[in-house]
Amino acid sequence: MKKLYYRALSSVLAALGFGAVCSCGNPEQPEDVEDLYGCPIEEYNDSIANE
Amino acid sequence: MNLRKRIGLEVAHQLYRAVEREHPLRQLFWECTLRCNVHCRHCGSDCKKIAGVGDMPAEDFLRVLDSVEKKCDPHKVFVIVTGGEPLVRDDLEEVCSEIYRRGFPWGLVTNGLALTPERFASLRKAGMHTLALSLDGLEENHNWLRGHLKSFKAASQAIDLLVNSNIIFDCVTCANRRNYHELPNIRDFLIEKGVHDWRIYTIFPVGRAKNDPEMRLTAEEFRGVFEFIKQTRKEGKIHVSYGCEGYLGAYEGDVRDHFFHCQAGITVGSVMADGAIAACASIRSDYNQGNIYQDDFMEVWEHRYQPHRTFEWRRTGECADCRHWRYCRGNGMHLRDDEGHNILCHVKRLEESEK
Repeated sequence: MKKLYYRALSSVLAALGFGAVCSCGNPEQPEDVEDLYGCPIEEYNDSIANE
Repeated sequence: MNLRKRIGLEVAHQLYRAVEREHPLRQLFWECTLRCNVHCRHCGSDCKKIAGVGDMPAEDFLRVLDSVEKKCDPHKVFVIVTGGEPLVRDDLEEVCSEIYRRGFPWGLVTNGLALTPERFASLRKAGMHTLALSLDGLEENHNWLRGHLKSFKAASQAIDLLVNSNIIFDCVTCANRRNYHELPNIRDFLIEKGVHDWRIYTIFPVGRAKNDPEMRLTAEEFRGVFEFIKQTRKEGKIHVSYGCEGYLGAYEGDVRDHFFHCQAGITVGSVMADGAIAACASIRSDYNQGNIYQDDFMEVWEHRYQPHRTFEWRRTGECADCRHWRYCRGNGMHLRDDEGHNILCHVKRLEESEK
């Protein structure tokens, strides 16, 4: 329920052309508060391997 | 303020209130050292080449992560390694490999002076996910601010290194009286280098910058920074944003992707070099909530941090009857002094330029 609420508000902001969450000194901008850094480690492993 | 922004501010307000109630830990700063290889005029930490406080032993910070792992999904807590200058630590890759092995994504804040290609490669192997690089002007002004003659050259080489990798990074510039008129040249330099993300912040009166007249922008220049960011964003050649600090009134929605929300103690926690458990690493007044040498980090995170998660206590002085209170709620926590007074109001500073 909470997740849906976050997503709904984040979607409204996105529709208005705004981001939802401040990245606070970190250059990676999360898409919404419930999906901040999901699974970057595994993806990271692949990206490093290809560099 | 137009209707789109008004609605956006209100929706963001509802979202932020919900996040505050939950206060999920999402970013954990680790001030791994107070040692530094440059001597910046604006240093908020007042760092030294030989710090009075020793580097935090790796195992002490890893114990913090033990605590975090018990209550949080490590993939959702981003560790940001800061200092001082983190690269002065010889064991950085060793510690960060362990952070990574435990499933925490991590990033680095650096001046780039010691970021050789070899060091960069070893940091990448240790799992470095993002990097924020300081660049405070073109050669003369950057070196002046950083107090080091080779600082700009090193930062420039570091940018080349970063651009040619696929790491997520941004350049961070402290706007001050010396580099204010140079901002368009810095922008062009970064675009030419191939940098995509640029973050500008303005000096706030703490640390060494507090009493430095060359650091603090005039009210007109202060407004000029936001006009510059707004214009550059419209041009769309580089993604530039104002830093996270400060509610900006009419500039909200124009100079950042999101609306102002101080997340110190709400989604952001910090472990300082002396073990203090803090909120945001930029907070230099004593709002520490515990110390890792006496307290369990997550116990503190879950049960303390009341000054950061409540707002009415901040509604004093100029904030008491301010019309911006609903969305500002007392500005950033790093702008509160030990007595709880707000030391800089961005909206008031912007209004000064209209007089």
